[in-house]
Amino acid sequence: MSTNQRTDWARRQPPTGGSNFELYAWFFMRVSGLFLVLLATGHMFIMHVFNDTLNLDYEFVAARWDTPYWRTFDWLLLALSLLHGTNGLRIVLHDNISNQNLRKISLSVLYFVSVMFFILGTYVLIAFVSEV
Amino acid sequence: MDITLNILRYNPDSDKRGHWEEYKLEAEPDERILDLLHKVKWFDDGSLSFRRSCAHGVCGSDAMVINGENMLACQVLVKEVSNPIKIEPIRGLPVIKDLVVDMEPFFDSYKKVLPYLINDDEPGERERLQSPEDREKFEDTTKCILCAACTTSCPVFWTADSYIGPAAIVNAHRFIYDSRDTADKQRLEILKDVNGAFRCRTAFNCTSACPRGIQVTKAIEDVKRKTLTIN
Amino acid sequence: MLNQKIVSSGSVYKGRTGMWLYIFHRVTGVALFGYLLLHIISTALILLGPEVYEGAEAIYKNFYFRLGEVGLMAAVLAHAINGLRIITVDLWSRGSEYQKRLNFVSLLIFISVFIPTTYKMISSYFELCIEKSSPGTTVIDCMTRPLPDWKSK
Repeated sequence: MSTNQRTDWARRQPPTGGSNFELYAWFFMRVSGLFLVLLATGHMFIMHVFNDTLNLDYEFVAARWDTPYWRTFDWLLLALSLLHGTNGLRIVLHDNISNQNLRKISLSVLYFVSVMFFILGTYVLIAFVSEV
Repeated sequence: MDITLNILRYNPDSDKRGHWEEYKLEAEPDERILDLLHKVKWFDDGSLSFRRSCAHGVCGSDAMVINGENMLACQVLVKEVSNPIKIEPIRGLPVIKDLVVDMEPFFDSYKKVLPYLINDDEPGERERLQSPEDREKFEDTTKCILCAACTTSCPVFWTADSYIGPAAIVNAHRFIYDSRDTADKQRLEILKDVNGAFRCRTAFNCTSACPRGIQVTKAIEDVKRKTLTIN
Repeated sequence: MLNQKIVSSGSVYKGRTGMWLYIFHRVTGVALFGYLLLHIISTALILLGPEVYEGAEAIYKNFYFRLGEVGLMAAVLAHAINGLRIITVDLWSRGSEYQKRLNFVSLLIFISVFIPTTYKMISSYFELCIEKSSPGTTVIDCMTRPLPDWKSK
């Protein structure tokens, strides 16, 4: 803050900044978005265009997850899409719910659900052992 | 020519909600929308409330939603809009009466970004010099008249009323890019808040709403990129 | 903002393409997040063994879900391409100058990717259906009947 004697009429409201969180969240959305364009549309094309989901069965997934590369691919997709989606929804909730308590509750639910699904997805990717 | 004017009226004393009222009047194609409002107020219904001051697109008092878009009533001619003409108050700010909205939240946001020159260096013998190139950097954002047309056209502002809004960012831009000003870091710090520049979703409504032709979204993008590069 | 809500006229602001794209990006984003959660659950069923997993997958194997898949593809592609447009506007210093052209280019890219993929997904459905079903099965049958379970044969 400057120390001059100018009338202070506007400085009644002190800067609320300080945290870089929104900046990083904004930048993260763009970077993760770029990766997701490759990962998610790649996944969509592999599953729905190059293969047909009608042929999708247990063996198909088992063969796919036989290689650690596809497990890594799927885990990256899981992690990035969940983070990207959670942050997107955080902003949607922030924009559309003005009641502070309601906002806090809905955000907590969102974070809880996201973490649970991340744990579930990660567990599936690690624990899966083919039965055939 | 015959004009039908539909105005969204609201009287806080008697109305629970706004209602449309229709006025039929004669007007020349070259008359302004503001002239029509005057005709209604002066010769038909004196209770109609709206703001206007200079009536020449400089004071920024008479921004309103005309046929679904934010405009200055004193700048738009009858022949430029389709008939019947629909007039509503600007959105996202509390309506006081008819077309008059409470501008306080808007000016609070404006004041937040320190919209004045800050430079604590010794003034010296003469004025602080600036090259034409440096002046050019913020030429566009000096044109703002604080009419709130941009802020109240922003879909983020409608839903998230805590968003600081395009107008405040434009006025921050005007000083951030001024080579004589030394508080750019301070302003960028304010604008990286949860309700600051990063709430902008580049809908470009503000750019087309600005009666002064300011490239509002571009200014906001400049601020975002500058914040990104200094952090 | 209480007053504003009372006075609100219900009429739609005549925003530019960017406003509709902003709404569209939100809607597809929320929808895709919901689908992602369902997808994680349906994939997680694989831990319960082949019967459970394929039992769940069998629900998807009819023509209506194929249309749903096309919709999913549209949402993913549109969200991705519009996302690239947003990144361009945000991070390229001249992005906002060219935003109208970027809108148009994004639409062109979307159409040129979406039409061939839709064609492949729909035609592949009927090819597989007619190939695996008993002789005499028509396209109409494939649309109205559930698919035969060709794995158990």
